[in-house]
Amino acid sequence: MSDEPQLIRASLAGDSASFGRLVCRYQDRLYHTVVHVVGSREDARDLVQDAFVQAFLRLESFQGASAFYTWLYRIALNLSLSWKRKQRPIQSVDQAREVSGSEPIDQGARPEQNLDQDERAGQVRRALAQLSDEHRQVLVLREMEGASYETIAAMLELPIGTVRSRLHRARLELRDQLREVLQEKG
Amino acid sequence: MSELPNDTWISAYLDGELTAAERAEFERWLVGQPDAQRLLEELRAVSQTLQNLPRETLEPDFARRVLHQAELSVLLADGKPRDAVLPFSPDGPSLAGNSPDGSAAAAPSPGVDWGRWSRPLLWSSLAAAAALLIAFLTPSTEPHSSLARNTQTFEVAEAPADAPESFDVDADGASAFAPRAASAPPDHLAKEGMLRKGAAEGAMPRMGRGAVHESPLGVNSVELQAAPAPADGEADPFEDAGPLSQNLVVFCEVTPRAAQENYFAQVLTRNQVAVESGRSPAREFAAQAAEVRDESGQENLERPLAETSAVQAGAEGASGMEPPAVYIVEASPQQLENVLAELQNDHTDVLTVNVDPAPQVPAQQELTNFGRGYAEPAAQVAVPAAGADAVQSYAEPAPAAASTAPSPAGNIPVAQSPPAPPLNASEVPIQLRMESANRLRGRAQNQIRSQIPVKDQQRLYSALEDLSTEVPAEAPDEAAAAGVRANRSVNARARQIELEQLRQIAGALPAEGYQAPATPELTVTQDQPPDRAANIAKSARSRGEPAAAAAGAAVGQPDRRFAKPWQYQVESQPARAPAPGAQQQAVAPPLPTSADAPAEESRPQEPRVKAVFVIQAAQVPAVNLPADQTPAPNEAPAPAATPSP
Repeated sequence: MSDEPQLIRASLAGDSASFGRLVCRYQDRLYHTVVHVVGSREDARDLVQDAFVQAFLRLESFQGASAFYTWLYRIALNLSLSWKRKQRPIQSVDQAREVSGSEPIDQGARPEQNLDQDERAGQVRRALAQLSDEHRQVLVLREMEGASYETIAAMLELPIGTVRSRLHRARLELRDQLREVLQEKG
Repeated sequence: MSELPNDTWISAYLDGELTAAERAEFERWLVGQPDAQRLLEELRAVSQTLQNLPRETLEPDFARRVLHQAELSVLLADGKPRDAVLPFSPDGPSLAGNSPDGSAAAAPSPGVDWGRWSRPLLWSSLAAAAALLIAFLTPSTEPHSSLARNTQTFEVAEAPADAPESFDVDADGASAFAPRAASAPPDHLAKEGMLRKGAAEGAMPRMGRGAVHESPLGVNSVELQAAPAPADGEADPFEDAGPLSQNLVVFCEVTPRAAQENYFAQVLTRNQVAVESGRSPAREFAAQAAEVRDESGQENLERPLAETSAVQAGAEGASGMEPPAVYIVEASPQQLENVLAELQNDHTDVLTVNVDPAPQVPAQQELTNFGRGYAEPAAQVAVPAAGADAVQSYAEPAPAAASTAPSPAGNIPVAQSPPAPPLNASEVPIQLRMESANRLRGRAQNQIRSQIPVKDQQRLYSALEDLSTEVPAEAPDEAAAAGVRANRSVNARARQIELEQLRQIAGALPAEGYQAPATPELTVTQDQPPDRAANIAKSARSRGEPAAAAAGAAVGQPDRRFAKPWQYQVESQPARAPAPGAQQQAVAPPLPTSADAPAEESRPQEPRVKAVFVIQAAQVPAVNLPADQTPAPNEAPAPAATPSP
């Protein structure tokens, strides 16, 4: 992380390899977050790619006042919001399954993992998808990114008090969605 | 459950976001609240459940796809292809660049192929053509045997097992030549073959009669195998009269504009390197060969050259590329180092520089690959304060930084430079300011060059070379900042003056063409004449390039200290009276030839080295998704800390 300013300067100077290192550094982290924000791996991949491309094209506007990843996530979040506005109204997971015949998030075949664990992860993701966008965003940033309240407030441009209340409400709501899962684990 | 001052305190306590006083109050309150304790455990379980979700990851070549898309967006931003500022790698990136031994990097990172740009067929054709040209242009009573040696060489030359990755003479290239007599020594004339063998066999760096030479380029460090005398007494074009017999092949890719403006010829002129053979593109050499063929009626000569031309034409037709320009030069190792250093330092016109032979000798490894991997710091990124976590709002893209505005000095439009970075001594280190100033200087140079006719760029470049913005690293911040500002104002003023001078000169050109005067008409004098080599060395040191720095230091100039900006005086020459009906003609100044090379009487006679420079105009290639790649391990955030109550 300490070489981030150098990588950015090199990228601005035309060294694409340096920007490639930044992409490698943050791609999975950003993807993991965006997947749980938008609820779709395919869409998340496209959004993350677009976010990096936008960051590359507008790198000169990055003043360095914040961490690069914070700036990058803001780009990805804006793209995600734009993407969601263009989507059809949000359906419930069951409705989506009935329409498409498949889960919004493809579990994929991971033979090395316990099937129960996969099923539980799927339940968690489905429950997370049931939250409102505002609740899901703060919850993902807190739990997936480990972001502080202050960082979340800055990323989402919200007062810290709003972040705190939304996070509490989001956890309560998700708890209600996951009662069965939590009881099995407990 | 009795009321909390704020029910969100439970989640905040879970996240460690309460103040010390709030935490103490909450813990006191929690003692007698079993429901709240149960809720706290439930919320902790929710948090842990989310944190334990399997990490989602992207495919390994994701970063390369991103760069591919981003660069495509940059190049097509105007709706039409433009000069490749960010070159593509048509064959997929070599990622982190070649390692010194030419093998693929162990842990490649995605990126544009700044390093070797492998086009085996084209390069092998170029190598074959270069060898043919050298053999053809050397006076010989029996071109057949010379050609036969070449063909025999390419057929027989074998790269050692550990030879670095480079262009190979593939079957197509080799088959273009008609094999002749098999009696010639197999490795007599093959440049790469000889050099590879010499290098692969662990030849110690020696110069001539056994002296150890420390030159980082190692041009004179590779000992060629002793070649037997030509069977027919014919001169070996690669055999020098001096104690050394080496040759260097440099493949350089430049922007199309630079290729059209004879950029490399100007580089040679500035470094006083004589061109032994013409700079005509390869196709012109083929045309010359065709003329000789027609005159002599030598059928044996026709086929390989025709096929060479066909190969080149095929390569050109296949790739749409202009055939490269081939320069055969003879210069001292220091001059060649200077040329290579200048190519390497030019981040605008030069895209890649590949030096062959590839380095088996450690001394050569530092200068093997002059790819654009050396980053020049950008001027507009401020160093963030330590610990800052403020969020940078995602703003709309700023308008294009460069815009064309009328020059204040006249009618020649000069593109505006991007705004200079702030000079705040408390935030921006000296190094960044120095590099920023040099960056601005380079931009000014490029902008002026783009507006000035080719015939005048040589002199303008020489004048601008004198405008150095370097300040000593030891200077206090205030002095350094003042020096940078002063230099910048001096640059601007000097630029105005020189533009005016050049307009006057351009208007006074004779109708018959322009001959470069013996002395430049536009001279810039200052208190302390700069030393180009020392400046190059300084610049190299600032970028952490010891080889180029050593090359500059080898010149022997002291490291100057400048406490104040130079005082520039531009001496104007009276404009020459135009000839009646004179019209400006864009005629490139004649290349210096061996006869025009200045006599180096003041320096001891240095060994001369032949070198072949193949200058290829870059082209935006077809979009190809690159192959495999293994990115660096991804960083995952630490799990959110949940303090235990």
